Amino acid sequence: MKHDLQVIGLSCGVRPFRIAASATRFYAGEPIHTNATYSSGAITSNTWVVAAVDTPIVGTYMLGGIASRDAQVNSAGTVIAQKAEVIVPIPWLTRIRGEAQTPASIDTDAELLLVLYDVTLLSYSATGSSLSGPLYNIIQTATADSSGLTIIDGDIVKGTIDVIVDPRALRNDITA
Amino acid sequence: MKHDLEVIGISCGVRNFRAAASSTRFYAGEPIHTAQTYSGGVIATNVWIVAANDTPLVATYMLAGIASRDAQVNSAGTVITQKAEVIVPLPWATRIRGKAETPASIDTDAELLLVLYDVTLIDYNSTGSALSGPLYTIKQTASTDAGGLTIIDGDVVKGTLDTIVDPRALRNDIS
Repeated sequence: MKHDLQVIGLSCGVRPFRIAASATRFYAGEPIHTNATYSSGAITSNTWVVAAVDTPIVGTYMLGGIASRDAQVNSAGTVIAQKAEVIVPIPWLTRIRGEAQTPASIDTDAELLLVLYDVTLLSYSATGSSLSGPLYNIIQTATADSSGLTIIDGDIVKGTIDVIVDPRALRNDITA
Repeated sequence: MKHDLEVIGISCGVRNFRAAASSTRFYAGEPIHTAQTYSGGVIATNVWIVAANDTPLVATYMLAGIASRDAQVNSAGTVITQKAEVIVPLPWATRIRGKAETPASIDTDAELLLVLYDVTLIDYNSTGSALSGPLYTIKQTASTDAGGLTIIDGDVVKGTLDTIVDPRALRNDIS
């Protein structure tokens, strides 16, 4: 949902990412990524999409960043081919902030401490928002070492988590 | 050639890199790298050189950055021992901009789109410049997944490409 995720602090700024016509509509504060791979250095797809899965898994998804404005659409509400404006995080530095998937699980300092420096993902819930659309938050329960985000802080009152991005989550591994 | 490559946006700033006496002369805007490896944590050579290959190939070359000023030379034009001033890119953040190797291949938006997010290299042409010296451009045609640069943007009018650097291109792999 719009404004689910925030980018905090120094970043690479806003960069254009190509989006194909008729791609899934996205809003500011939603994560833009791709599961494209490389072959002889060429990427399999030159366009990016809003995440419709938990992301970024290292070696599977490349995170572009967080959309800084809503997708451009035509009069029917269909996404048009465009250069999306996306805030690109600096790996290990820029914070991405979002609500914890289960805020009650980090509402004491002792609970927050237990998840600090765990690696995690942005959670995608297709109909989880108050508008019954996508909801993005941060999974506070680690599940895989290949997760591309590291929890570095949180707010036990607001139920938010701050994460930083592993550089390997910004490019799929070299396979050749 | 001087000013072939530009560093755009936030960077690690200028750092000193040791260059050996009598190494190849370099100019501002040329890439400084090394092919050195580590053994027991010790680097094989402590000095850096201007690239005379396509670079940076991950696990083969370590890119220091782009020279911010010309090499210091003696009266004979020979490089003296010095601390070269090099602009160090912040991985994934700093853009390195250069002319495409073949600008005509990216002179429409549709052509540019096809190379976006491909991984690539700085091309080295030993006599390609207007002065018959080295010419550094950005390869618009990907050739290997080990390319240490990612094409993120371009200018179809000027024929330039913007790239960002993979952090693995700044240090050889741990072996």
